[in-house]
Amino acid sequence: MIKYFRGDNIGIYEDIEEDPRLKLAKRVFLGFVIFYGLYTLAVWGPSYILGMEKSLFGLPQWVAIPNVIVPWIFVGALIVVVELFVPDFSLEEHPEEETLEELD
Amino acid sequence: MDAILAIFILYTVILLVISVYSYRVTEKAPAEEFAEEFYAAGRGFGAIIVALLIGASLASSGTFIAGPGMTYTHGFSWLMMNNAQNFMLLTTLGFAGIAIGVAARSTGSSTYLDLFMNRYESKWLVGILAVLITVFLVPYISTQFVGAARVLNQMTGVGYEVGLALGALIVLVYMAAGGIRGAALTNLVQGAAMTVGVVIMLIGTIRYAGGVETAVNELSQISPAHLSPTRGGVFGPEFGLSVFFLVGFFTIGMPHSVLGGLTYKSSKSLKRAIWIGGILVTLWTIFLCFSGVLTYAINPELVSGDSAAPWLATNVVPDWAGGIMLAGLIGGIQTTVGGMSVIITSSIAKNLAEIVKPDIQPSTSKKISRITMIIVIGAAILIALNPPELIQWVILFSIGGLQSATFGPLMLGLFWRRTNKYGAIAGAIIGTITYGLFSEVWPATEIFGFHQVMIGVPVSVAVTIIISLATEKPSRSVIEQFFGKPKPKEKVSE
Repeated sequence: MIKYFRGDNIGIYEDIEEDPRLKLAKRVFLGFVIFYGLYTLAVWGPSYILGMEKSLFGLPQWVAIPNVIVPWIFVGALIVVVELFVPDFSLEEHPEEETLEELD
Repeated sequence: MDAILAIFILYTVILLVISVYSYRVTEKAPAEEFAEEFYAAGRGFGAIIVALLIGASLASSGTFIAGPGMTYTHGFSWLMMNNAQNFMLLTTLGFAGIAIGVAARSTGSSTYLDLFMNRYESKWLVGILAVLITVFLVPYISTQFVGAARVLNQMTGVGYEVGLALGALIVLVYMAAGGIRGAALTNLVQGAAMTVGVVIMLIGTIRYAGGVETAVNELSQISPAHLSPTRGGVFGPEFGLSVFFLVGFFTIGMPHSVLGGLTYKSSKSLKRAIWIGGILVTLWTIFLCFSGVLTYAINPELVSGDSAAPWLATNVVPDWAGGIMLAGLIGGIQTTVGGMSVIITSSIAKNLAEIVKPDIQPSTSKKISRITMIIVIGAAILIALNPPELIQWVILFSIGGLQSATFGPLMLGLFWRRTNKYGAIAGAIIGTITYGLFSEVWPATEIFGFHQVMIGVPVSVAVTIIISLATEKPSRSVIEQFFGKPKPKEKVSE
C-alpha cells in the first residue's frame, strides 16, 4: 500500500513510468482522506459522547464543541494544510522537466 | 412585501445582464472550440469561481430550504448531519481534483463523460451513465424548482406556477445562453446573495428570539428532543455516520462535483478553491441550521419545516433584508440547477450525440447543446408542476443513486491502472441495482440503521475491482495517456 502511494507499485505496464503529478494526486488523496476522517471522528464521536450540560451561549456541550467550534478549527487547519503541504504543479500537457522532478 | 419582490426582481435583472454577456463570450468561440467553452469555459476559472461553482452546486435546496427545515423539525441532530458537508470541496477537488485536472487536459476531456470515454473506450458505459445521470438528475432539478416556487409563493404571495416561472426561467436563459460560463458568473452574484442572506437570517433570528440562550431554554421546555443528538432516538449513530459518507467521502461520485476539476486554471486556483469552499459551506451550513432550530423556539406552529426559512425572511427582518434573503435562498437553488444541467446536457448533447453520429459537425453540436439544455430544464419545470410532498428525501435518494453508479468507476479509473471497461460497466449497473434494492425492497435504514449508499458504493467498488481483474487489461495507449509521465517541454521542442 505504501509503495502504491509512492507510485512504485503500479501494477500493469510497469515499463510506463508514472506521471509525477499522479503520484502527487495519490498522496494528496490519501492525506485528505485522513484529514476528512479525523474531522468525521471529531464531529461524529463527541456528538454522541458529550452530554447535555450547558456550554457556550447556553447550548448543550455536544452542540457547542463538536458542531460549532470543531468545524471552524478544521477550516483553519485546512487552510494551513492546503497551502503548506500541497505543492504547486503544472497543468500543461508537456510541463518543464524541472517542475516534474520537483514533484518526484 | 413589495420591497422583497422588488429586490428579487433586481437580482433577476442582474442575472439577465450576465446571461447576455456570457452568451456573447460563448458565441465568440470558434465552432470547433464551442464544447470546451460551453462545458468547461476554456479551463480558465480562478479560485473563487471554482469554489462557488462546486460549493454552490452541491449545496442545493437541501441546504438552503431543507437545512433550516430539517433542523426546525429534528433539532440540532440535523446540524450534526449537515456538518458532514462542510468540506465538500475537499472531498471533491481534494480527493480527485489533481488527477481529474491532469487527465482532462492530457486527453482533451471537456465533459464529465469525456473522462469516462477516454479512460474506458466504451460507448456502452457512456450510454449507461448518460441514462443514469438523466434519470437521477432531472427529478433532482425539478425538486430544486419546487423549493424555489414554494419559497417565492410564501414570501411574495405570487401563485405557485408564477413562482416556478420566476425561479426557473431565468436559469433556463442563462444556462442556454452561456453554458458553464453563464453558471459561473451568475454564481458570483448568487454566492454573494447566499452568504449575505444567511448572515442576515441568523442575526435576525437570534435578535427576534431574545438570544440563543433564551431560545435554548424555550426548546428545553417545549421540545427537549430538539436538543438531543439522536432526536430522542430517531437518528442513531449509525445513520449519523452514514451521512458523513453520503455527503462527505462519496461526494466525488456526484457528476457535478467533477465540474471544478474540469475548469480550474492552475494549481493555485485548485488549492484556494478547496479552503475558500470550506469557509463558505461551513458558514452557510451552521448559520442556516441554527436559524432553523431557533425558529422552532419562536414559532412551533409552522405547517412544515420547509416553511422555516421563508417564514424567517418575512417575519424577523426588515423587508429589504428579506429580499436579500429571498435572493440568497433562490440563488442556492439556481446554482445547483446550473451545475446539474451542464452535466445532463453535456452527457446527452455531446457524448450521446457523438456515439450516435461520430462525424457530427461542430455547428450542429452547438445547436444541439442549446436545444438539449432548454429541453432538460423545461422537462424539470414540467415535473415540478406536480410537486412531491417532501423534497429532501428525493434529493438524498438521487445523490445516493448517482454515487452508487459512478464512485467506483471514476475513482478506480483515475487511480488504478488495472480498472477496465467491463469492471466499470458492471460496477455502475450492479451498484445502482444494489442501491435500489436496499432502498425499496430491503430498506437499509430499517434493517441496519444506516443509509443504503453505505451498501451501494462498496458493492460498486468491489464489483468494479473483481470484474476488472477477471477480464482483459486496458489498452497500453490509455494507460500511457492517463498514467504515463508526459514528455517534458524541452524534449518536445527538440
